[in-house]
This record gives sequence, C-alpha cells and structure tokens, in this order.
Amino acid sequence: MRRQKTAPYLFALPYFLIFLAFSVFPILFSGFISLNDWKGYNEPTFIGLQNYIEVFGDPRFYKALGNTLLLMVMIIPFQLVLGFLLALFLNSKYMKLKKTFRLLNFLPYLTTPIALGVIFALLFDPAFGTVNQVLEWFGINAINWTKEVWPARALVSMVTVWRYTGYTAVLFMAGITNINTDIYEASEIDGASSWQRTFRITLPLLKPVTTFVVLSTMIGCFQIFEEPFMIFNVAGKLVGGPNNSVLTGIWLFYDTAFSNQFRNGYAAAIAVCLFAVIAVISFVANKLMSGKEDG
Amino acid sequence: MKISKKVLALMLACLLVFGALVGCADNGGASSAAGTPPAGSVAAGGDVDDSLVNTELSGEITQWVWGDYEIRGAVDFNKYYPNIKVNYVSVPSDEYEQKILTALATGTDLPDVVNIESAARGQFNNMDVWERLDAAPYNLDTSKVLPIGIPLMSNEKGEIVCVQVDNCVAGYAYDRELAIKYFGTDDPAEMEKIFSDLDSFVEKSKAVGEAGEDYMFASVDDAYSAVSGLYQKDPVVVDGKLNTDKSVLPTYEFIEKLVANKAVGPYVEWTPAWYTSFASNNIIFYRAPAWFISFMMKPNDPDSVGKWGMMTPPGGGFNAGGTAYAIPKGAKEENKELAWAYIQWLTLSQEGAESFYNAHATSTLYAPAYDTDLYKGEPDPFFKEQNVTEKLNEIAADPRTTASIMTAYDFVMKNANAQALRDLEAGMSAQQAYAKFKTEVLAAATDLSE
Repeated sequence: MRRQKTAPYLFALPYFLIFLAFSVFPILFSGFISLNDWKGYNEPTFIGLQNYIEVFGDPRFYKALGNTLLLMVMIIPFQLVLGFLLALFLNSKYMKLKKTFRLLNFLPYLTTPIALGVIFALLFDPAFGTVNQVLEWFGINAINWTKEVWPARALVSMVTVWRYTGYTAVLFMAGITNINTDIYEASEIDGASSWQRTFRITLPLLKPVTTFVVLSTMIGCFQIFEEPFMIFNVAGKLVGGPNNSVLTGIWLFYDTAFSNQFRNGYAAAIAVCLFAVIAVISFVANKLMSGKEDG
Repeated sequence: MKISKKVLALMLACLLVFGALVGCADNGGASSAAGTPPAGSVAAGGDVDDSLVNTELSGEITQWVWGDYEIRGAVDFNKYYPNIKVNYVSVPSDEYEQKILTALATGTDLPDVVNIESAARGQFNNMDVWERLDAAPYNLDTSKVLPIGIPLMSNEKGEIVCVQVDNCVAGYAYDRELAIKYFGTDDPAEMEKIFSDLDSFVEKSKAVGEAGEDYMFASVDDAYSAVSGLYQKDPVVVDGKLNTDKSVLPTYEFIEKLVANKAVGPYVEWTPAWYTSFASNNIIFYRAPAWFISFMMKPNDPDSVGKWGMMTPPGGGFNAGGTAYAIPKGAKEENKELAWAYIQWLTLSQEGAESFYNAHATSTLYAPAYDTDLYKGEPDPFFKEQNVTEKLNEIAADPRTTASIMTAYDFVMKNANAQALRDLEAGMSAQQAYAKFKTEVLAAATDLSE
C-alpha cells in the first residue's frame, strides 16, 4: 500500500529533477542576474531595477518586439492554413504512399539550423540565388531578399512557415484521427459533400487542436531566433538583418549577452521582459479563444 | 513479478536521470569536442639541437582549438619540450568565444591556452581575465615581436595579454589578366606606381565600371576590408568618445565613389556566392594576408596558374585578421609556466617560427626570424612565380604599415558597419551612412558619446 502511494512520485521524480535543474533554476537565476551589472567574467554588482529601466527606454527592445509581432502576423495564418490543408491531404482516403508523404512532410522540421542558413542564403542570394533567377524567367524583377527590410521579413516568414508547417500538420492529423468516423459516415448518408464535411465537421471539431496550435505557434514566434540568425549570419553577418528588420527578441537577447558587450545582466532583464510579454499575450489569446469556444 | 516490474521501472527512471545529467555535463563542458576531435597530443621525434631541448618542464596542458591548424603549426613542439603534453580539444569556431565566456561565468575549468581570434580580440583583451605577459613571471620581450604585433596583443591599458601567432599583414592580390586589360600592366612595381594613392583607385575604377564586365572589388565589404586599415591609424575610441571621423568616414567616401562608378561587385563577403568570386575572373583586387591566400584564394580558385599578382597597398600595409594565444588567470597555477613555454616556443622562438612556417607558409611575428633565411620564400606558380612570402614580409617591414588598435567596442562597430555597407551599396551617401553608423554605435554602446 505504501509502495503504491510512493511509486507515482518516484516515476514523476526524474522529470521534476530535470525540470528543477534546467527550467526553474535558470529562470530564477535569470531573475537574479537581471538585477545585477554582470558581464559573466566579472563579479556581479547589484544595481536594482536599473537594467529594467534601461530596457523600457531601449528603442532596440521595442524594435525587436515589433518585429516579432509582425513576423507573427506574417507566419501564423499561413502556417495554420497550410498545416491544415496538408493534414487533410495526408489523411485523405484517396491518398497513396501516405507514409512516404508524411515522412517528407516532416523533414523540414528536422533540418539543422546551419544547413538552413547556408541553403536559404544560397537560394535567396539577391545577385546569384536560384529564386531570383526563376523570378526573372517569369519577367519579375529580382528581389533584394537579404538586403531590404520587407523582403528580409518575407524571407524569414517563408523559411519559418516552410520549417514548421509539417509539424503543424502532424498536430492537425492527430486531431483529425480523433474525430469519430461515425460522424463522417452519417454525413455521407445525409448527402454532405466533402467541402461541407470539412467545414461543418472537421474544422469545428478541431477547435481545441486549433487553439493549441495557435497558442504554441504564437509562443514559438516569440522565440524566433535560429531562422533569421542563421540566414543573416551567412548572408553578410548582418545582426538583426537589414536595418534591424528581423531583429527578434531572442536575437536581441543573444546579441546583448554573447556577441555585443557580454552584458549578461541586461540581457537577463530583456529575457524577463520578453517572458512577461509572452505570458500576457498568451493568456489574453487563450482567454479570447476559450471564450469563443465556450460561446 | 509485480515487484520486479517496479524495480525495472525504477531502474529505467534512474537511468533516464543519469543519462540526462551525463548528456548535460557533456554539453556544458568543451571537453566533449563536438564534431571530429583532433589527435590527442603531439608526439616527439626528429633531430634537434640538444641545447634547445628542455626536459625540466613536465606536465600536461590543454588548448581549445578550432581544428588542426594549431596542432600542425606546433607540430615540432615536443621535440623541444618532450615532457610537456599538449592536449588539444576541438571546439567549433562559432561556439568558441561563447564557451570561454560560459566557462568564465560558471567557474568551470578553462583551458591553459585560449585562442583569441582577431574579431573578438578587442573585447577579450579588455576583459581582465588573462595573465599579463609583459610582466613577471612571463616577462615577454617586446623587442622580439614585430612592432605591428604590439597593438594586436595589448589591452587598452597597454598591457600585453596575448601573443598573436601569425603575421597577417595584407597586400593587394590582383588578377593579372584584368590588370593588363584595364591598367596596361601586370607588373607589381608598375601597379604600385599606378596605384600610389586611393584616389587613383577611384580614377581607374571609372573605366572598369564603364566596361560593365568586371569589378575593382568583389563587394562593398571587400572594398571596406581593403581600405579601412589604411585609414585607421588612431584608436576608434578616445576617452569614451567615438573617434572615427578620420577613419570610417573617409573609408565610406571611398566606397561611395566606387559604387557610383559601378566598380563594386555584388558578392557579399563570406556568403556562399562570395567564395565563387575568386574563380569568376571578374574581380581585380582582394586584400590578401597570408592566411587569405592559403584558406580563401587557393582553395576557391584551385585551377588557376599564374593568374594572380601581389602588390603593396597605397600607403603601406595593415593587419587583417589573426589568432592570438592567451593564458587565463583562472587556469591551473601549475600549468601556467608550461602554457607560457608552449606559447613562447611557438611565437617567440626561431624553432617555433620554422615549425609554423613549414606547416602553413605563414610567418609568425617573431622579429629575429626576419633576419634569417627562413622567410626567403620561393616563386609561387599561383602568383606567376612571384615570391609572395618575400612580398608580404616586405610590406610588413614597410614603416608605413600599421595595425589598428583594438577596443572593447569592436563588435558594436562591426555590426553598425555591416548595415552601413549595405546602405552604401544601395546608393546612400557616405555622410548619411556615417551618421547612421554613429547613431547605431551610440545606441548599442550606451557608455560611449559622440
């Protein structure tokens, strides 16, 4: 009896040990160092809220936050729609070689960031890239993908959508699989078309999955770093992209902590502020979406 | 049976925790040597002058290295110090500085010898975490170092905290065929007469731009790399104030004129496309220190014979890149003497200079070696039998040749400069680009003023 009581805790212990060591402690430590002037190699000096005051007056922070929100708007709708369509396609009973396509669909998610940077910098090189060559075949002027503000944002959005759509599709596929097939059979008997089944049955019943996908993609967008960093690290080592147009919150944090002036205390304050923003926006979005669902 | 299942589950759970912790320890320490680890240590062997062999010093030291460059450069070390074992630990170059900072922040073991690459030197030299090498017990003799090396090894207080290994004085490599096409000669001496100042580059660039086939430089970045060192004679920060009016601004003005003459190519430096520019036969000039020839030009233009020439830049040469070795204050006390023996042998001895030159065809900054036959060089078919080693050392000995003083703000300036170069490329005026550069620098380095 006693063993039965303790066993669940023992089973859960590994996770909580790891969670404490690699999540809780770093979060608390970040909070602590955000109150200090600390470059990592010197002794921390307690400066109270000075770092936070500086963050709130730092135009780069607002720029990074604005960029992140813009990228979010440019990414989420496409990722959601494409992911849903892919899921429908890969779940279709008319689909052949389902397993092969499901694997192919997931491959971009497995691409290493370094490969991603090199490949996309090559493809989208304004002067020599394949993409511009193809555009020119169709009579479209070459686009300065890595040198101008909006093309740079479009590039980062496209790469991010390409990388994560497969993952989103997997989530939708899991949701679709959970929908009771009796409902589809009944609707078929009632003469519903495939469009009607998609919009009247699949989509409404996927609402919890959609809510999760939207929230997790939003949080993911707040953490965008690898895609712009790797692309622009290869394409001219331009921190933040052209005119800081793709400087995201995490990139600003990384630059401040590791490559700019090693201001770890200030970088920690940026991280805490980002955490607060993500938490608030996620909370509000969750409330809004749950509210709609309840309604 | 029930008990055995529970025991099994518990063991699995423990294994999970253990596995995770072991994995983390590996990731946290540089000793994991992600990727392909180099050989463990250098073996002794070969005939050497016995009077130069030191058997008294013994022990093991560790150096974090980027690849086998460091190992091959010091391959003869154990012939002279047979009892010092150097353990080379491979750390990817793009993670190197971050791992050093992490080790410093967390207090974990640092290597006994640390590489400091030129781009990070300004910040790292000023971190007050390195042994001062021109004071006791190291007592580095600065007279044994080429004068150009001293600023590259010093912090802002003028203390020497590292020793640059390689001589990175740059000349201008040029495409001989294009030189004949546009300037009527490919002779280095004639080229130096034609390009006696930077105005002549601007003047000659008009014909190159008008032809519309070739470029003076591969990109605005290359033009910047070729010229900035010539203008940058003073520290870029003086008493907490930006001091770039006489260095960055004229460099931008030079680039503005080249861009207006359509004489700058579209190859953004260090991009995959840029690496193809060496074999594209449409770029006339590159600034080229010895490492650039070995690691950039020759590998990316392997089929060329006699294509290139080397000339002195107008106004003498300048330093471009380089790797320095430092001893962390936090290294094990008993290893510091050994680490210094290793660094001193490589960078401040004739034997080290020979070892490094034989491995990389690159000179060290050890001054007395330049009075010997070591660097007499030989005709290089890649450069149409020109003796490039001799030429680069001639540039290094030029009294006009200087090295920029490195500062803790170098990274900030590098970032702001990268954007300014893109703006210049897009047609922005030098004045506007420079104003933007200053604004960016001052925004990122809040303790600086104009």
